[in-house]
Amino acid sequence: MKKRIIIGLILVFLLILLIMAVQSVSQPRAGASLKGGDKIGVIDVSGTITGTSTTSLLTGTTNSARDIMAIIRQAASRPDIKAVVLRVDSPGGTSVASQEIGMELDKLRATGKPVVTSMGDVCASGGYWIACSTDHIMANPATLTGSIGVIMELQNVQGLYEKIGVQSIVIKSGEHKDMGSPFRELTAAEQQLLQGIVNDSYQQFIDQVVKGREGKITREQLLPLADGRIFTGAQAKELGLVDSLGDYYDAVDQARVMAGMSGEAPIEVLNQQDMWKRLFTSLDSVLGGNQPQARLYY
Amino acid sequence: MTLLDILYGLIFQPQATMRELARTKPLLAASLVFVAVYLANMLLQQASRSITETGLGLLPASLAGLLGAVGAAVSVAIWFIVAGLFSLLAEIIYGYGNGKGVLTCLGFAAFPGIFGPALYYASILVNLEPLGMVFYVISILWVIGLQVLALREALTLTTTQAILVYLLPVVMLLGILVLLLVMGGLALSSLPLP
Repeated sequence: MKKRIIIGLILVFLLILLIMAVQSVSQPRAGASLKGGDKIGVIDVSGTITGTSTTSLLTGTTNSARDIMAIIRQAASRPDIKAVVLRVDSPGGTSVASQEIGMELDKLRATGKPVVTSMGDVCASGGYWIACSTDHIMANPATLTGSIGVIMELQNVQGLYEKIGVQSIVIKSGEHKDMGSPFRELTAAEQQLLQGIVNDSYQQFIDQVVKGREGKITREQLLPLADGRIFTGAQAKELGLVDSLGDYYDAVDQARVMAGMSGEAPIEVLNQQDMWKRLFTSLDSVLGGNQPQARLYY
Repeated sequence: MTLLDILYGLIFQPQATMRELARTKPLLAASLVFVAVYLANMLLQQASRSITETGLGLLPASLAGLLGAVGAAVSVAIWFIVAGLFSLLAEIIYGYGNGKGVLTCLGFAAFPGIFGPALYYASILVNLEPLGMVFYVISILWVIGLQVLALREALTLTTTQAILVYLLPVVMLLGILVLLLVMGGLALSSLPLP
């Protein structure tokens, strides 16, 4: 009887730990609850920034603007998150998705929590847009950044369709309703209209950089650089496009200092999803979540 | 002997329990314990990492699950191969083999291996990580001790003989490695210079 009680207690102890372990793995922050205290939240932004979910089953991070915005809001509302490190490894994405993330970052900073960007391999275009909505930008010397500009790409498959005998019939309410259609040439007027959209979007990008880099680079200094060219992190530092050079842990330290935290504050990756959510989001992406459309890209 | 009796015995009366296990050979229960311990360890290690790692190097749950399943299958295969090898070596050297007995005893010998990751995880939760590392090392040594005991009881060897059989595959592997390196070096040195 005594034997059974002893081994029973040991097994119950192990079972409790296993249940807690399952919780820790499925919701990384739950397991750390006993540790308590203030933390630095890390938000991973990897790959193309889009409006629709593009969760990677393997890496477990999502770049859907909606999901990232929700995580930024979570960081803003959680009292234990004292600072945020935005780890960006992205060549950019759609203009609206980048703008939306940037706006939420501005709101997060308005709560008084410092936000530091840590640039990975690439933090260009839309990636740089969102970095401009953070308090401090840290790049690796070899990071590729910049690419300040806007691009809109359209395809014309008219010739191909003619070869295979497919004719497109369009019934439209106005002259420009099928502007950008892949089944016909773009007219000069349409080209002018689209150029106007691209130019306006480009001005918004310039405004964002000037606002985000106030006191570090002027509009006049920025304009010659903002022709879509890319820079290394070291070059960007010289030009005032980033604040300092360092790796991910340096960025964490910077966030810690800016938040006035002492000692070794624990880090929590905020956008690490549990297995099931990741699986279903991935399936959703595969089964039609991403429909090709004409979009503006930063 | 029920499973609870066996688990209790492995902790508090290992010698008598191993002797009994070598005699009765409850292989199904041994397989269950072995796989359960492996999966539990995988889960506990991942949970520990989810707290201590920065997250950038953390294994995603889905990948960890996949690796866990593959790892469990591989470790079962290794368990079978190693048990067979130990039994074969004992038969060659000492004239007595007991494949199923060795397999069963080695399977159960993995049981204390759960305490290392479990106590390490618990120690992280209460901010005593260094103590957890000590538990981890103790748990590994405990498993090694039980494995030697498993060989001793299943193959009716002395402790020295059991240690010899236990270490022989490692020594042989090292020997083969050294031989291959020497042969590779000789082959390279015999190549004509450009």
